[in-house]
Amino acid sequence: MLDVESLSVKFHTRNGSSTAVEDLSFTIDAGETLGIVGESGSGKSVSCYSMLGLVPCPPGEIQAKSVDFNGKKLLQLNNKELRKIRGGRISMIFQDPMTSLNPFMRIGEQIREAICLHQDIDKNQAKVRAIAALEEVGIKNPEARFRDFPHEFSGGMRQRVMIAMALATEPEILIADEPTTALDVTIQAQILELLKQVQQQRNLAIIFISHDLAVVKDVADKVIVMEKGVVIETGPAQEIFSQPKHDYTKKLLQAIPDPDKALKSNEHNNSDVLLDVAALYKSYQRTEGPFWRKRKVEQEVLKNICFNVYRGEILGLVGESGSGKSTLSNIITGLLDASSGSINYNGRELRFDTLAQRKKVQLVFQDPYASLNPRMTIFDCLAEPLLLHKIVEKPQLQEKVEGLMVEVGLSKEVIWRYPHEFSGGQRQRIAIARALACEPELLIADEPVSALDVTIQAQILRLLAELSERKGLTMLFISHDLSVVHSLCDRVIVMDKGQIVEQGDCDSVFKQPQHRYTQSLINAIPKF
Amino acid sequence: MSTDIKIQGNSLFSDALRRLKKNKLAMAGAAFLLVLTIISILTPWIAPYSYETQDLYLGATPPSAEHWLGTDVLGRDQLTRIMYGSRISLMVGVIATSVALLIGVLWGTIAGFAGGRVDSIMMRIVDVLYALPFSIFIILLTVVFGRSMLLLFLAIGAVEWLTMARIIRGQVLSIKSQEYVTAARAIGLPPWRIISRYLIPNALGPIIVYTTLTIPSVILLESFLSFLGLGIQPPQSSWGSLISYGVETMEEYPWLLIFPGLILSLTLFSLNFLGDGLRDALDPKASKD
Repeated sequence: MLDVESLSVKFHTRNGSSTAVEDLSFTIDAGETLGIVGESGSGKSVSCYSMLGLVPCPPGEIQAKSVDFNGKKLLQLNNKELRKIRGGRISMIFQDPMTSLNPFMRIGEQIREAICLHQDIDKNQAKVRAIAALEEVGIKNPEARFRDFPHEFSGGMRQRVMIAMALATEPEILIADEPTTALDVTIQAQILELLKQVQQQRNLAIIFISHDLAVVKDVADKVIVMEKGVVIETGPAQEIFSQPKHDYTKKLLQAIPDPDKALKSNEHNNSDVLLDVAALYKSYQRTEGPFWRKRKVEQEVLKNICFNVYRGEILGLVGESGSGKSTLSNIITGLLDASSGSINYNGRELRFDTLAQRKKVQLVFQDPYASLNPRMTIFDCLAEPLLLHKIVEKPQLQEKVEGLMVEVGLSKEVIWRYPHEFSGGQRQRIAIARALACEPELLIADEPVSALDVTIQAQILRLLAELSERKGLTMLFISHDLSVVHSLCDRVIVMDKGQIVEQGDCDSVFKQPQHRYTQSLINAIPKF
Repeated sequence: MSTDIKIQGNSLFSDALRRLKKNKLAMAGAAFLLVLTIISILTPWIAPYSYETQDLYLGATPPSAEHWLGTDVLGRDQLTRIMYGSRISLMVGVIATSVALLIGVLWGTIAGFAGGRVDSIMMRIVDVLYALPFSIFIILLTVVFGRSMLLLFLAIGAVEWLTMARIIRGQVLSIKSQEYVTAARAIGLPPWRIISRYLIPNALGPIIVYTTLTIPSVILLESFLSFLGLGIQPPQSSWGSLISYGVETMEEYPWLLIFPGLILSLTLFSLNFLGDGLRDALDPKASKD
């Protein structure tokens, strides 16, 4: 149905030209799913966008022997003809359901608009179609929800709306660009199931772009592995995943966290309690209603949280978005106050009144692009905590900063650079170095690897495991990714809707989950 | 990179200066402003004529060998009057803008950083001052304090900082929620260091752009205030008053509008180029070297 032969995309900029995609060829037929796998910057999205005229030219330059869609040469079409195909016969869904719908339009209108653009039917018929599409993607009570705005839907529901919108025009090919990356694991499982369902019903061809190999393995028939714009390996999914030929594919597969190969070598059996959280509650007060009838609504985000962190262990904290895990970490680091309850640190109440108390608990954040001040060099950034806590004197400052860089696996020559000159993984290492600069006892890592590519993720996890072993660092590791937690942590806490539903030894929780929620989480992990 | 490590990157500003020097347009703007400043400082000694001596027989003459930029209706040398005018205008521009900058940036950062009740009280004060009609405010000031140049600066500064404070507060609110600020708080950095090292440097872009926009508007505001009787009085001159006078006689004596207008436009261009250059130079991401 779609036949692409040696597609290349180049970008010409002031600093010279770069090749985003080189010599990509594939075919896809009705009812097939093609998975395109690669890390960020591998050209997997650009290749699909370029076929549909979504890459601005210039600076882009697209070349191909042929891009043939049911007899139509896509690259030779003008904008008007291309618009008819794009969104009509070839639809797309995107990564972030929070930003890909127009917040000012009712969702029904958005779907109806898409239908009316591509099909010659009147508004009432289009509305009937739109409602049918909403029903097909599993939105309950579609007639009523037709008039709702995007903000009235949750993330998973919005992705369903996006899919409904893409399907409403009866496409032959659906391009799904990281459609589940921004979603929680249980929602991800539902969306993948939905995609498989509609594919069967409509005999749809799906191009599934993702960095997550487990997800691709779950859905794809054929797989293309890309690195830096070049196709590394291509073939049937089964073959690629069971017998990878190329080193890069092997590296990718090895980087997937494997619970059987624990990153920490020694078993942890310390009963010395470092942090003791007891009966912790947190609620926010919101005011609702018009100003003459204001009422205060109490919203509980944390309910009766009790747990211990033992000295030297890595404790995993697992939960989906909205489970309150970030609120909890902010309370432990003193960035938020709890409504009630107590946190004892080393047997005494945890307070952050003095600098000495402050430095004991440090943070590593999720987004390495947002967690470093763009206007400070790496040296300044690392020197700041060292000077503030008087850990070293001025003359030894540079030596100490260089030591920190080496400790997290970076070269000491680069300390005069600014954060933007580093890649995501390197920045995350710098952020870890900054946390270590304070010489903390407890390190709280809030989703430290979820913004990173899978090979980088594996490196950072190894670094964290190493540091905890070498320095006897206690770590609270917060994540939504259960397989990462399983491979790194000694014990795990599972949170749902502000409550701890299960806690215990990592292996036993994963092998024999007791609580229903934990079971559903573990079942939702794409099996590898 | 490796040999001169010690010298490099000691501060944002030495880096910025190096980058700024590469920007030709910005350097041209800076050079023009520098020359203008030197001339206006030296004006009492180098001006070709007196700014107040009238020659009613001469009247308004177009540019000539004796009077390079012509004379006005009262026969006063236009070049001299522009030179004296630039003393007033540049001073007003710089001082009033500095006042606005200082108050506005501090007010905005503190309000944005503190948040909550402090923020709403501080911003309501800004709203109230905004709502006050400007001319009434100025007239009140004149009635209470009488006329003086100092009051002129204060009055302009007191009005211009409001917008600055609002812009900065918005910036700070968004910067405050960045993770690097949270990281700074987790390290234990005191608030004033967070403000000076994290918030203000990252809000520099909008601050500089708005400053370059404020200076010209302040220069024009001065002519309006002079018209109300605050600030400078004839026979003293400023660019603003020369322009407003030039507009009245535009049809008969166009040079009385063209030359002050030209010098004001050139100043504004230079300011904008310099401002743009500064903004880029202060952003480490803007250029790789």
